[in-house]
Amino acid sequence: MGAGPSSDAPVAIVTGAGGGIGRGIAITLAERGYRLVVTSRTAADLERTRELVEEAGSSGTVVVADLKDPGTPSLLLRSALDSFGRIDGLVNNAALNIFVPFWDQPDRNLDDMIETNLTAVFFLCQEVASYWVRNALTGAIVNISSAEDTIAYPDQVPYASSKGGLLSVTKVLALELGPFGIRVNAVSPGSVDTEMTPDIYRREAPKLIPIGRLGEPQEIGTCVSFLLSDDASYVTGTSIYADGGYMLL
Amino acid sequence: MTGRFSGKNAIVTGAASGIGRATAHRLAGDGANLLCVDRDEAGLADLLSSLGGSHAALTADLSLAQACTDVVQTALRHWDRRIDILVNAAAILIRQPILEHSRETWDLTIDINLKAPFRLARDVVASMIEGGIRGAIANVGSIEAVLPIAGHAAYTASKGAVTMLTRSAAFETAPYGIRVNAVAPGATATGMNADLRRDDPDRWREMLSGTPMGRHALPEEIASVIAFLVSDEASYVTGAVVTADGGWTLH
Ligand SMILES: NC(=O)c1ccc[n+]([C@@H]2O[C@H](COP(=O)([O-])OP(=O)(O)OC[C@H]3O[C@@H](n4cnc5c(N)ncnc54)[C@H](O)[C@@H]3O)[C@@H](O)[C@H]2O)c1
Repeated sequence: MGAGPSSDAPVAIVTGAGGGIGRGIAITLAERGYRLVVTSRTAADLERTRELVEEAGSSGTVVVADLKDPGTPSLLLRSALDSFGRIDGLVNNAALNIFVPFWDQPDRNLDDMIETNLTAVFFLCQEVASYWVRNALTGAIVNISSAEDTIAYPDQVPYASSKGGLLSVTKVLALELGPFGIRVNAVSPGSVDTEMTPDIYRREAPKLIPIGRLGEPQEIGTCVSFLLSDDASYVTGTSIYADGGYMLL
Repeated sequence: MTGRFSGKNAIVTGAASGIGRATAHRLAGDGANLLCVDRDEAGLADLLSSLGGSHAALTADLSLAQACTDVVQTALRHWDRRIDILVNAAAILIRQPILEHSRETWDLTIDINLKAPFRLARDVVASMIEGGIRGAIANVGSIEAVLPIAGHAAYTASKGAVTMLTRSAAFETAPYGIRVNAVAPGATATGMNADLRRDDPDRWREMLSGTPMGRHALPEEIASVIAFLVSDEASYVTGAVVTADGGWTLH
């Protein structure tokens, strides 16, 4: 561990940061000097992410919250401001996927996936963007979409619908927030190796993915880090497909 | 009546106005039996009298899950368990700047424009699989899914979602011979923009100036695409989102 980040280091919120891609994003951003607000529903997982953020030389604040709770956006913004005094980036990574054949998907699954993957994302964007606009500040937002915002997989109609909606809402956010100096983009991952990845995916990867392997969470993190950074100062309203070429096959 | 939809049973939502109404006329003109669904009771009555024949109508508020269930159950009862075609044309558009977009606006838009087509398609597909019916579903998306318009946040989200509802439902139902497609209209003169055309004609003209064809679509020009997509002419077309926008998205 180094001297820790300076008090004017940038700050980002990462949702769904208790594991998988969200944790990978948090670590990558920490390595690049961001201080982090990490959130999910499980305290122990978030504590582990915070340790990893600190090992990467930065600092993190843990917020245990359910994104479906309408009070969560203001809670997250307040934690960033109370802990670090600023907010520069928002990464909407949390999402829910429940695999059921289309004709058997109950309304409850549809409601949960649309709420978590689309509605909650919009209102968190709105909360943070409103703060930036009110205070004449600027910032950047990255929404983690999916290759499924474009291509179909079985048993995931509500999930694919939520991601199609997310890709489109990313564009309208970019359109309307552009004049305020706020950029909004997406990263659409293909298959990423996480705790939840079934072994068969790893075995099949050489056949299904031109690059020949699954992605690492940090390889989504580097895309997010680019889109948040000034290197992407002219990039808005688009998505980077980080899928090892999966969509080419 | 004879025609390419002769003997086919079709549900059309949003049938009281605009694209839905033109689609109802088009399908009925080609011989389909219709169940016309809308929340606008007077509009439905007017449609039925203009259609003639023995079509059915159901007044329902599709923002409610129960209403969606009732629509499919009514159709199955009415037609002895056989639905061949579903056209999801009902939708709303509420204009609000992005930072003022309210939770009420968002939820109502998502409920009507996304969840209702999902629920109706899900239940119709279940009945088609059960009955071995090789049916067809058409959704109405929008070019706004790819080229957004300021003030339309919830609408944009709902239409992006409908695009992927179409593609992923098509993927899963293709092995059963069921086809799911969408049309993505550009500016079409309907009830959805009647107020804008009346109150702010300059803004409407400005929008059209970006359309290479230099004019808006008539609802009949979208209905004809929908009719193609649900007909046997489109027997190898599934998961398609057919743009009908006078060239709007070309630049
Ligand atoms: N007009 C355009 O420029 C345009 C462009 C792209 C896409 N679209 C799409 O075309 C489709 C048809 O829209 P339109 O332009 O004909 O508009 P419209 O307003 O003329 O017709 C929509 C119909 O849906 C009905 N409806 C709305 N909410 C309902 C509810 N809760 N329950 C039942 N019925 C309800 C309305 O009563 C109305 O009859 C929509 O999906 C719309 O998003 C329209």
